[in-house]
Amino acid sequence: MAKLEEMRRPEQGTKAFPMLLYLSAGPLLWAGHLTFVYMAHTAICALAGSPAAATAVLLVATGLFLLPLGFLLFKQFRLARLLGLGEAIEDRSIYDGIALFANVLSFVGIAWSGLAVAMLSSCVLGR
Amino acid sequence: MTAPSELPNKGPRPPGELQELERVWKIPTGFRLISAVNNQVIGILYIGIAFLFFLLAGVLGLVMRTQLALPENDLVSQDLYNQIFTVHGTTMMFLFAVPVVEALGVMLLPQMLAARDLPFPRLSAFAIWAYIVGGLVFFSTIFYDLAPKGGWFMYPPLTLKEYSPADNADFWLLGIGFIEISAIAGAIEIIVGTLRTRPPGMSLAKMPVFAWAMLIFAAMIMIAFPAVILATMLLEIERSFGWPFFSAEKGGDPLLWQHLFWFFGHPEVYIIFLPAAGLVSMIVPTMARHPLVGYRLIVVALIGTGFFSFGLWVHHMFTTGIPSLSLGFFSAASMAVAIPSGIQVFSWIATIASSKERFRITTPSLFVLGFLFIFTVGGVTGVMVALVPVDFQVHDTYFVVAHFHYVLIGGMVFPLFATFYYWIPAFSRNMLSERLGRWVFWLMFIGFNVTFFPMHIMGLLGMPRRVWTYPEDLGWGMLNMVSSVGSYILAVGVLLFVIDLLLRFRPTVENSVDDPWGAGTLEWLPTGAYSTRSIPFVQSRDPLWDQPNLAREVEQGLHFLPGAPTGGRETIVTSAVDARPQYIIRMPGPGWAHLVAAVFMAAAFLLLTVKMVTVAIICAVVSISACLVWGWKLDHGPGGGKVDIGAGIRLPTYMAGPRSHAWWAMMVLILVASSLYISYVFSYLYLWIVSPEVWAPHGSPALPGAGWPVGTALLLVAGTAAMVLTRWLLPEPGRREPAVPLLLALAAICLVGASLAEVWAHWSTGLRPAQNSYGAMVYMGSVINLQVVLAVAVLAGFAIARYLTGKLDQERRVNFENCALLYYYAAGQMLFGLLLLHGFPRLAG
Repeated sequence: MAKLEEMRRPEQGTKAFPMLLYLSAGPLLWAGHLTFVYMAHTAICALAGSPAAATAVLLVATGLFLLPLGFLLFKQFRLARLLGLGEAIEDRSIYDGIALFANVLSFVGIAWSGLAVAMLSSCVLGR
Repeated sequence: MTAPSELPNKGPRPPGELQELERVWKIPTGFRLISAVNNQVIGILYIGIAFLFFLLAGVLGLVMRTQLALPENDLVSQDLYNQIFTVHGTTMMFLFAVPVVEALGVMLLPQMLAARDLPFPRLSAFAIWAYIVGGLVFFSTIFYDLAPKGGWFMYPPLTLKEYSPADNADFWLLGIGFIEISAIAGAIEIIVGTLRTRPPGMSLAKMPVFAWAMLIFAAMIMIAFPAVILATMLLEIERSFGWPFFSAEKGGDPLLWQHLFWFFGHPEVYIIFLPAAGLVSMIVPTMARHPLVGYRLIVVALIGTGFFSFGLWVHHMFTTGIPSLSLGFFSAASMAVAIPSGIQVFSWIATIASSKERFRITTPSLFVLGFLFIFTVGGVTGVMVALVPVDFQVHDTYFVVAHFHYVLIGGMVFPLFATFYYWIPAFSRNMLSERLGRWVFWLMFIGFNVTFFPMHIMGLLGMPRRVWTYPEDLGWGMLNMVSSVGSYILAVGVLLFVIDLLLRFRPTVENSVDDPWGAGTLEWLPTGAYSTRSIPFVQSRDPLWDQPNLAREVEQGLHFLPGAPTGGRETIVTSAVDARPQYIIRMPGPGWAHLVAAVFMAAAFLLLTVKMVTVAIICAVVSISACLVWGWKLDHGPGGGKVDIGAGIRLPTYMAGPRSHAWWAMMVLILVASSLYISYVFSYLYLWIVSPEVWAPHGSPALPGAGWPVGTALLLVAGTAAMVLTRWLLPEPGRREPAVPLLLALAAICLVGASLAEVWAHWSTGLRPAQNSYGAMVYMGSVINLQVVLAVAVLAGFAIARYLTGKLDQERRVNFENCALLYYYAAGQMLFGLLLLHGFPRLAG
């Protein structure tokens, strides 16, 4: 519960940018994965015309995006420390929970979409 | 509960304090009411106009249903029918759905956050007036045979000059483009307001879910809307000047429009849905008399939906011929978005189930339950159309019409009606009728399902959307008749609501009904034109439940800022995460400048539509001048010193640098500009992928020599250095430093010079914008740069004028900082553009 005393020390408050980054690290990785997969697949199919290369590159990329996300799932507090978010932040457990669930959701999102990459190997137009 | 010793202020309050507060926040009366900027006044106006557009577009819907009730009907002509469905969809999406949720943000957020107002009240008012003028003119085109006919997504090549030669399409492109800008202005207000004007103690973790939803809604607008603004610019430029972005014979591609449109259009669905979900998350706990179950998960769902919604746009394009791996990828992503939506639905159900007593069945609850049912059905059909084979079958059929009406009416209109019934008591002398409300609900619920459920079957039977009529022997007649009857039942429900509204809604800011539902959030505190008497110190997520004396304490002025210590309008700016008080923001009161700016800006855009270019330019100049007059009085400077807000906290009344709300607003604006530019970069690369044969150096004149980009880059670096130096040289208050205006002017000249040099460099090679898609994209880069450059030039001129009149120095420097931030961004964008336009063709060629 917030104390009136804390209101007198605005300079000791939590920084906004690190907190927003902490909460959205997982979704940002998901966005990076989507952007990379879409661009790389389009470029490889258009320029090289190689379905096998497209699948290989995208599978590796999916793995590479899942790695840091997996790390975040198990070592979330390390990221918080890195971003300068101390243990004493008010409602810290709520922020931790939001970040954790957002990371889980993003992990599922990347893995699920990545499955499509693993199962389909084609640059052929879809209709 | 707050112990008396922990209250920020002591009572009784000094005599005259409340009267001063009332004087400062007085709402103008009579014809001056239109100059008002109080959020309650403009919020009601905003919602009222948006609802008017809902009714008007609804009438168009009824005309369509009447036309389709019988086979081979000729009630309206084919051409008029095309205009009607285009205006119906466009109005519902652009003039009703997004504005009404933004209006709810303007109306409810300050009350929910116990701020005296949002941080830029005149910006809100500007956005609203621009929307009203632009929207009414756009809608009226249906009466003059000038309405667009290309459907609400206006696909080229149908909307190119060759196939739509009249001005109808231009009304859509310029009108809607303009209204999008108004929406972005509102989004900036909402982001800064939500993050910076919360009451002390209301950390992000204690923020109402609606505020979270609005924060994510506004962030999504920042990312999504620039894509469609760019698309409308490209199409309008192609129609007016023949730059071939979408003409395949010159290396363009109509599918570029679809990519840009749906990169906006799909998130748009969630832009509409998330605030509605936020409203439901506020109503359900009140009716269940139980805190929301799974607050953290709901926040995660909002964030997740906000992100995921940007990864789905291609599912609108499954049938356009894209690589099958992309189909699979976007199909999977489309199905994944059901997870965060499902989290919210289960959370609401869990809250209802956790109700200590029986869940109260009131009119708002009925609409919430109706929403749960209809939205879930729409969600399930959404998963169906996310499956590529199903989409191939039902694409462009009435199945899709049924699906998106289930999602949009279920996901947004039903929560909106719940909102009307739930929150009107906070702004009216009377509640709406419960008895009539139940009739309204059942008529709307039954009418809706009778109207739209048969459309699933029509679609599966093969009835395409947007057909004017159909032959009798296809067997669609009965289903269409049922659907049309349903639409009239739905309309009777809406009509009953309007009657109830006319009979009972009596707007007031002071004598509203007191918290009739026993809710727990701050908008139910007693309010006046100044919002709450004092700004509460918040210690929980449901403060009215957990701090039972809060309403009385706030009303007695025992919390923060119980008066108007600066003698003007003000509220507390708090830190973005923990909501610790940082400074007092001084806000403008009623005025005319924003109104003039809005009306003339709308006029400028609309006159461009009918090619009255000179008058349009005059209107634009008047509008910009009005903006400058408006901006001149905003920076009060630090002369007010510090003021006491309670609890021994003395806050400055002026702030510059990264803590200032102006800095935050400029950063948000820069994000919008960068989003527009990223859309441009995407378009450039996309057209290169499609038509590499027209790209320099082989398919177009050779690139300018390397000296051009290097020289342009040096100009940009020199200008940036001048800007940095200006910051260092800003004098102490009361002193002069003649180099400051000179450096500012030099910086602006460098920027303008760099943009002109870039244009000339390409022009001198013989490349012309109408030559092919490569030329069009090259010059389009300069058009986009020029917008930012012009804005920087105006801001630099403004800063020079402020300096010359003694209103700019080392402490009073917000005007300079705004200019500098945008300058650095413009220089960065142009440097990147040089790399792209001069480096990429060399690399790829």
